[in-house]
Amino acid sequence: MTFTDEQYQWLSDRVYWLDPKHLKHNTSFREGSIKFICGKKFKILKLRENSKTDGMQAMAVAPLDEKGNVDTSQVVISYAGTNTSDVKDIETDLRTIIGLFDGSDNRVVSLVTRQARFLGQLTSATEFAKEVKNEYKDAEISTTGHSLGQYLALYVAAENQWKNVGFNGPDPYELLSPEAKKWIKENPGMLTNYRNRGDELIGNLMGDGTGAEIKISMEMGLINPFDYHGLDIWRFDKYGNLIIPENDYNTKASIQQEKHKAMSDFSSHLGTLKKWREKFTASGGHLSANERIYLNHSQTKVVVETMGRKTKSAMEEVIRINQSSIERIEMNWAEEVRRAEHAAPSLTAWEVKETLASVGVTWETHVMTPKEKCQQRIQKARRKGERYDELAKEIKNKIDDLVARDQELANQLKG
Amino acid sequence: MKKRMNKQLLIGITVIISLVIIVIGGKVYMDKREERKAQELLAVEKQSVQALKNTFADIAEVKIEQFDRNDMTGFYGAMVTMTNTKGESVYFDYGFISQTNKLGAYGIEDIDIQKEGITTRKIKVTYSNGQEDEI
Repeated sequence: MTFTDEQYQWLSDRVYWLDPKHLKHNTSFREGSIKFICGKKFKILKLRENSKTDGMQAMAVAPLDEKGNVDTSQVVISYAGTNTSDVKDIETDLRTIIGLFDGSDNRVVSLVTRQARFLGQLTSATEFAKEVKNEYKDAEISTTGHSLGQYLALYVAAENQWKNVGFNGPDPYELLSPEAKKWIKENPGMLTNYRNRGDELIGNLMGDGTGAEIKISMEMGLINPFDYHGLDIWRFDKYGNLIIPENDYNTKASIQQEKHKAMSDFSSHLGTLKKWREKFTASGGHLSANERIYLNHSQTKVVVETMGRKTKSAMEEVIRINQSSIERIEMNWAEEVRRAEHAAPSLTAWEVKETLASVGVTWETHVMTPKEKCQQRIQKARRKGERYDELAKEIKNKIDDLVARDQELANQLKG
Repeated sequence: MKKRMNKQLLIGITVIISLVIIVIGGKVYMDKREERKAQELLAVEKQSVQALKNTFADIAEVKIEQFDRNDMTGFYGAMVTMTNTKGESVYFDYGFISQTNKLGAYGIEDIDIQKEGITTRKIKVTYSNGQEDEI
């Protein structure tokens, strides 16, 4: 099971209400209390409210299953962002995020050292994550947040190799350890930072070193610059997926979103398989031949499906690029002929074409052949995606067949 | 000499009057802005009661104890006492965004009173500013 973008969005907002500024609200945020969030019930496992020290607020939650029991195999940690009335939050923004001004990164003024950027909220966030990790050892943990909260969430996720989905966060790449940087490079799509194109004041600060960014143009027109930074600008479909408005700017974002989702499903499928493996061997025995085949095949299927989805989104990009090249090729040809006609006004259209052909420039060589090449590329990309689909189907049939034949395995999977 | 004194006095008085006007004007402007903000907040508060009715069944009365906006996210948060048709009450928190007609999030304090469903009949409402209404 994975959580939806919309649930992450609400969790990113809810954690802000731990701040003592919202006096009455904090009483209802207690460890052990149950919250309904976008169609799902969550239990608050752990809270941290540091307004007296560094200003950090964090919350760890786990979903309830259908029977109402808490399922701690999945835990989400959410971090609160800046409270503008909280001086400590603003101080963290300036010192940790912008590094005002950490001399090590070619900045002009150096008020704090690189070491000092880790103090306060970043350290608290890391400690909180560590405590949750120790208490829920088998859990698949993910992080979320908005603004400064997402900055902390990205940092913690990268350092712990967890999944992250958050909103309008500055990028913490500069401060990551070499191991975290390596992991990010090898696992693209595990971190997702939805950013608004117009949010230049806060959310889009510090580049995109982590590659987590999915920058979306929300077509909001000219409004108060702070409104671009809001968490309430995002819209979701009925499955809770963040909706990317269709426009030229957002083509890249749509493709990225599909890739990130494929990657996140992939990691959650692998997690499920890991649990199956533990279940199969729980009785102390070894894996039976069929169990091994089941696991291996399921694993292959997950890999193939993910590759298929990635290929498809890459294919869309190939098609888009090639289609625009076809348009450009035709435009160039028309322009070339027009220029030739202009240069020799005494020649007829036919004579111009003949002259161009005598130097090897014909419609066939300059339009037809390149166009065909583009179309071939599109076809090839399409076929590649289909091949993955076929392969996944084939493996699925084999798995179904195996489960149908082996009653014991089928029972284990049901239980 | 006297003329120059008069001129300086005139300038001084003008400056003081301008300052008084700016201060009073600013105060009026800020008050008006506060008032507009409060009105906007009340409008969303009313909207959220409708969302509450679309989320729970058998509501008879609600009293909103506090209604705030999280200025960073644009989300709203409320603390409410909700009484059902049997006269049983529950105090809980809920979160709301103005584009939706259901509550996105709420705290579950008493599952028996917070029954999922829809309330269609009119309910008695007390807003956080004390104003009473029927929706």
